[in-house]
Amino acid sequence: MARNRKQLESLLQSANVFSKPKIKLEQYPTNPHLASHIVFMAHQNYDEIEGKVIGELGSGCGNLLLASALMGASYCIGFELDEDAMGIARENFSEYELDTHVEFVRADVTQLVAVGQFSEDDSSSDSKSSENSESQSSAENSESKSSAENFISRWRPLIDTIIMNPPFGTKVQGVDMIFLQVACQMARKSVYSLHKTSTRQYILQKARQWGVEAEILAELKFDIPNMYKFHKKKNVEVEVDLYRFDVSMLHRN
Amino acid sequence: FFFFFFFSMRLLSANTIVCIVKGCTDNFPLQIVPTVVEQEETECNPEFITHIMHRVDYPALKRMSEDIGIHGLPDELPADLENNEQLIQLLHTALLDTHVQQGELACNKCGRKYPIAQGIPNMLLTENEV
Repeated sequence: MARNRKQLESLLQSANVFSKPKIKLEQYPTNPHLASHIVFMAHQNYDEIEGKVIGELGSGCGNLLLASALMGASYCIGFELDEDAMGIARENFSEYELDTHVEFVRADVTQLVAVGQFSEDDSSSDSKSSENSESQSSAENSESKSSAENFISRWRPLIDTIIMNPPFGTKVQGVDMIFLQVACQMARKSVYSLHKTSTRQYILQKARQWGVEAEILAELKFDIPNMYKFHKKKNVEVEVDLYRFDVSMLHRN
Repeated sequence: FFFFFFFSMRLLSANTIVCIVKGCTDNFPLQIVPTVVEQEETECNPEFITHIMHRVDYPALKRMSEDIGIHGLPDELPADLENNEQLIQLLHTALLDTHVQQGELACNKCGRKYPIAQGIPNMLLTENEV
């Protein structure tokens, strides 16, 4: 287990990242510096890592989960759509001999969206013209909601905290909010998530609507290395907010 | 150096998975139909087991354990689990040391089968199932 943030960051340095990142899935790795800060903050300020069950939606190559495991999480569960990314994540866990602490489930978070509980149609942050599956007529979708909702609520007793770096929703609009919504329903206590600073007002408003307490823990620069051919500049810096959402009041039993 | 991957579906996650096909409800628990099951002994952490047992669906866990060939779990979980070392060890074996590498999770309600490949259950739906 890492003793401090610096050690956590240096342990994460040797983890592998996406070998062939997929643009559509917005696969940008959470770099060791950022991952160590996020997880260490959750550990030190909120005691929400050590001995806890941590989940990640869109776990990619698993940096945040790996950081959680290195910080003493008792169990990690990653939900990821992309098989290749999961392969890298499992290799990383294996190299740290933490494979007994992790499980992966192949799932598409956008297929799990259960709007039932928060009952609202507008989930797009960047624009009104949402093209995600949930924008279909909600009456028609009511059946799929119940099975997806059931799936989500089954995980809730198990997962204490979700830590994630969801897609920013630049390729598929609204996907950032779908991740956030599913995460808030799936975790018992809290969700840590990164979102573009430009969507701050929208996110705070949504959190209020959902009855979730949102706190911005840090303003960060997310360094997106020149991974994709369409990137003209060498590195792109995106301003992001690190949030902690307290969801415990949603799920009092 | 040769890495042997033990990433595999365990009962802990199987215990929480339901069928998500549109319109299919009351389908918990799914049935595990294993083709490759492996066991690897790890050190038992009794605290973790007692803690986690409050959060899993016990009848489903018992049924799924039997699906993968682990017998001997009692019908009901004793209230003083923390004092029952033997049962904790058996639960540890069922929850953490038994890996379903290949097989499927089958929904007995609608018949949908979710493949488990390389230890990862695949919950992706086709378009008309959403």
